[in-house]
Amino acid sequence: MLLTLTISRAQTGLASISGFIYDKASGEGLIGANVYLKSINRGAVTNVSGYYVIPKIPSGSHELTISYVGYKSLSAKIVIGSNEEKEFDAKLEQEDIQGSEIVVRADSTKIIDKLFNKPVSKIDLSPSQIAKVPRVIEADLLRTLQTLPGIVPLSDFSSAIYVRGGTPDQNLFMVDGTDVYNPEHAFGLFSTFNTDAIKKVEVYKGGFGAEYGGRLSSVINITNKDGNRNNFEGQAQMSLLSLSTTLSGPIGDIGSISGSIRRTYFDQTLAKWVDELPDYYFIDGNFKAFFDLNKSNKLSVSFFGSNDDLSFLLDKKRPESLGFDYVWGNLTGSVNWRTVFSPNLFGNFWVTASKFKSDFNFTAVEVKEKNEINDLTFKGAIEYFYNDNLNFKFGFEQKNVSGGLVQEFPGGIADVMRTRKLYSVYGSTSWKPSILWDIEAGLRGDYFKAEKIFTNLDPRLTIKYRLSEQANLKFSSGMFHQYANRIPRLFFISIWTTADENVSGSSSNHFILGYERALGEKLELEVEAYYKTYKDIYSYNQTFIADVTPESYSSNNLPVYKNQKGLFNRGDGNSFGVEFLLRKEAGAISGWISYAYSKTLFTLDGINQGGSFEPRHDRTHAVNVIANIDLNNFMRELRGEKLIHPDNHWTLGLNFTFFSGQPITLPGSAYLMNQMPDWETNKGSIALYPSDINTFNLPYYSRLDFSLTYDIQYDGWTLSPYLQVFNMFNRKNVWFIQYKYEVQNNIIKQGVEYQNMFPILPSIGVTVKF
Amino acid sequence: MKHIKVLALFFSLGFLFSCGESVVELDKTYEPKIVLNAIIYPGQKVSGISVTKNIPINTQPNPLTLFISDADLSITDLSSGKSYKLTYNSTKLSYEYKGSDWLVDYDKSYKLSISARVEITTLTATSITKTPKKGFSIIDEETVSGEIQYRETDSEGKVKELSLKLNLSPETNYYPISLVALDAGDSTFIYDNSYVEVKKDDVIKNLERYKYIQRQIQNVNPAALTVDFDINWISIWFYSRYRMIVYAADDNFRLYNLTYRSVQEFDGNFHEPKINIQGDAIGVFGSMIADTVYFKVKK
Repeated sequence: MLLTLTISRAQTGLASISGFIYDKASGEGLIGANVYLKSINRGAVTNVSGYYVIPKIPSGSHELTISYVGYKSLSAKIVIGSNEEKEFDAKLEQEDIQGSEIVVRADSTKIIDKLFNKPVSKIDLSPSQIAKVPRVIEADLLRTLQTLPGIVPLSDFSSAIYVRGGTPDQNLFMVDGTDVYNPEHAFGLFSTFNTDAIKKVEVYKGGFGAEYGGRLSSVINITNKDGNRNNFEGQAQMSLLSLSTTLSGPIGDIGSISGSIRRTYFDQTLAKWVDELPDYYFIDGNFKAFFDLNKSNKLSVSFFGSNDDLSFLLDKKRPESLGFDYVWGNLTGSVNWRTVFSPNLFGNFWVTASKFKSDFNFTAVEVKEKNEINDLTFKGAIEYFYNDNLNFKFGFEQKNVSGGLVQEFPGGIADVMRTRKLYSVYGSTSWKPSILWDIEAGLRGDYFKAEKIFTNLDPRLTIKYRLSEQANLKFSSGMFHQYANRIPRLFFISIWTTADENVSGSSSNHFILGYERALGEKLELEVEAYYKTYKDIYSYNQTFIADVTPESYSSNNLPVYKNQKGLFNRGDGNSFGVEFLLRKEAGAISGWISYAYSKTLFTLDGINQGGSFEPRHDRTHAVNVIANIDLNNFMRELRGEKLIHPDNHWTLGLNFTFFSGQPITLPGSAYLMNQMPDWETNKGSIALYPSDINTFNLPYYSRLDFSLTYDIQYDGWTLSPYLQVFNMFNRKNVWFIQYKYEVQNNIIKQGVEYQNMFPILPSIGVTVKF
Repeated sequence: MKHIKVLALFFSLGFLFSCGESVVELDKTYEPKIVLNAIIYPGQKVSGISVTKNIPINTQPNPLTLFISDADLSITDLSSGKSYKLTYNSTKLSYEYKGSDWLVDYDKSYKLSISARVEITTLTATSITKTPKKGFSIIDEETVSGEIQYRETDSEGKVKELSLKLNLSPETNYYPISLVALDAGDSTFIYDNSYVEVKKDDVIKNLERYKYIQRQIQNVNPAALTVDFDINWISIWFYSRYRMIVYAADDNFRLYNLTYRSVQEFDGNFHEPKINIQGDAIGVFGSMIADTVYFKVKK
């Protein structure tokens, strides 16, 4: 068959077929749909706008097949004249992915082809997949990502992700093309991405193409829903934490509009009666308008805003009580113009703005802080489909970033505000010398202007090879640069800083080898091994208070800090690992099983005498099992019977997580020490001295989560009450150990107390769709 | 049925691994160390040098058993090369220089050398301090002294700050401030303070936390002659006489004092404090100039 495919490739003509693939119900463009011309065994995949093109095809009659997971495939007879630039748009009808039978038809896109088209180390997630993963009260994108191989959390209390040994600041988060800098609610417990508003999430765990830059480890590219172009539709959800709603509808015949809003409500309920609870809430919202300017030009305008507001008073009856106000949030906006210059030339242009701001005020101890970052970016991407064997991508990006930190405290001022410019250009080509091969080579160039100028050229290469009709082999390598570093802080939003005269840009090299196999007609297996190097990475200096040096002094001779010297420890490192992912996307049982082995070693100047050590986030073994089971069809599928589609149905979700224990530094001993020479030995005269860095391992982490959803459909409405139980067997996973000590009656009393991760957390909620 | 068995196996394993409690072994971390708490003061004899040993985590010894009385301890004046052997004072549980031929000088480097037996091992360590330059003092006229009412206000109703003004020691940029309530007790505690309600039980239990307060001035302009600093009223918890000692500290004390109590990070991990000692000791060998002022906080 491969021989046939190879021969047919030579039979090309000058005609082409192109168009957009839409969701029939909502009119949204579908990203990653497969378009296939059976007669010549050639196809294409729709891009982020739902656009496809198959160039240089022979004239005549062809059968075009379009398929997309979760949608019914569509076939059509197309007659193409000589040199004709045929336009063909299609609308696919959605089907219930869980209830859908997997019937492989001749016109279906095979799993192996879908895998071949997918970039190395890329995983796509749909909103329904995110929603089905059992959750900590609220559906959360980042916690869903933590169930994928190669992505691990540090603890239950943080939604931050560590991708293949990289730190959270090495992940690029984009919403509708706009960078988001601190995607955190509630001190990192939840992410700011409202899953109801999401259309698609593309996760690149490494080896990403030249079109992406600025981060060492991963890209999380979130595309929000454009809105329903045909009908008004909506969704409302109530969880124990928040209320949310998403509404969308057409704007006449020219486009659509979509908006989401979510707000926590315990400040209006529980906090009214429980004095100890702080006044806290978060709110976030998305708005997107999509305009079909004409057949070839689409425009979308997208906004995202979030705000967290925390007021804490230790004693609400005292006017000068110990307490603080802390407000933070993101505001992003983008205008995106997509145009088809010609069937072979597609353009995508953005103007994006991203602002993060936080204000902290702790009056009683005279501490004030403003932390902000502003990013205005212009970027463009051109795709040129020269022929079926050769495609080109070009692009540019120009970033204007300003921001920093202003902090006033007794004894000094920190005033670190900076303006930066980044100019990037890239080009890449995808060459398919035969049906068996796909080679993509690219180059990205950066010019970063700070107190010092950084220029870098990052080559990228991906090679895909069809080993057989059921297996692919892939290789990817690339160089990546990053000019921003994040300072993580206890209970405070991180501060971003950039490379300058004291801190170099960081770099990383990725080497990835992947093997993909279609296991029958239902399952896909991906195995990837990777090796990553890090150079000039920066880790927050935990003893920075002793290392920072002021640049100038106030009129009262107190320090004014204007640089980041002393804030970081420079270092290098490497990560390697192997990941297995077995995935089933449709049927009565869907989900994935994954295993990841990984090892990360860092060396940091001034730490561990310069010797290498495993960082805290290193998890040698990670296992995740995600299962979504359509209980009405579970036994039917196992028995190979035809699936049924009742109006009301039950869905069971199970999530099993196992991580081997994290490295940890424990205190090696305790000792007597008076804080000041004139103090008598007192209860606080005990200090702890640590053992060597991260030489111990915590016990393994494990938990099982469970969810049960009942979908009731009536007259176009769907009501879905659900029960979720996080850590259903209440396993006590150790987070860290707290040490208690005091000197009392001539005896040193010491004790240890385990600080555990989340206990069993049941929650209920309801979703209404109309 | 085969599929059911595989699924059942998976989730049985899941159930098995998802129960129970994990335990960390703590007893493998101990490594014996000499603990030095050694501060010398220019213009004074060397005394009060405390030498103890560290203890394993989660043990409960009597502190008196920790003092090492038979250490070989000496301090060398690096400018003259002369070494002074220290002897143990069993009443004060510390080492001192018994002779009358030596006072610590300003702006000089001194090296401490110690050898001591801890558990079954002989440990050694050295550390060098450079004493601060002369010139440091509290400027009494512009510093809180005498009697002051709790949160006393001026004629405009503004709360007066507890002011502090210092003559600086040239090139010294760390000034720790020790504030001790001399009459601290549950009867003198300021229950009607402006910040937080504190119950009597809590005062009794945590008396020392309220009694001993440290503040500091760091990274002062090295070219400056004086500096002003306000002690925030949140440092005052008793109607009491207060002793405020301000120190001009060397770099050893600065590094150690700023870092030794904050060795546990927010994710529970530990990191090393900054200790300028070479060898098998932890703690500090530092030098400081001290000046004291007293004031009383009234109702």
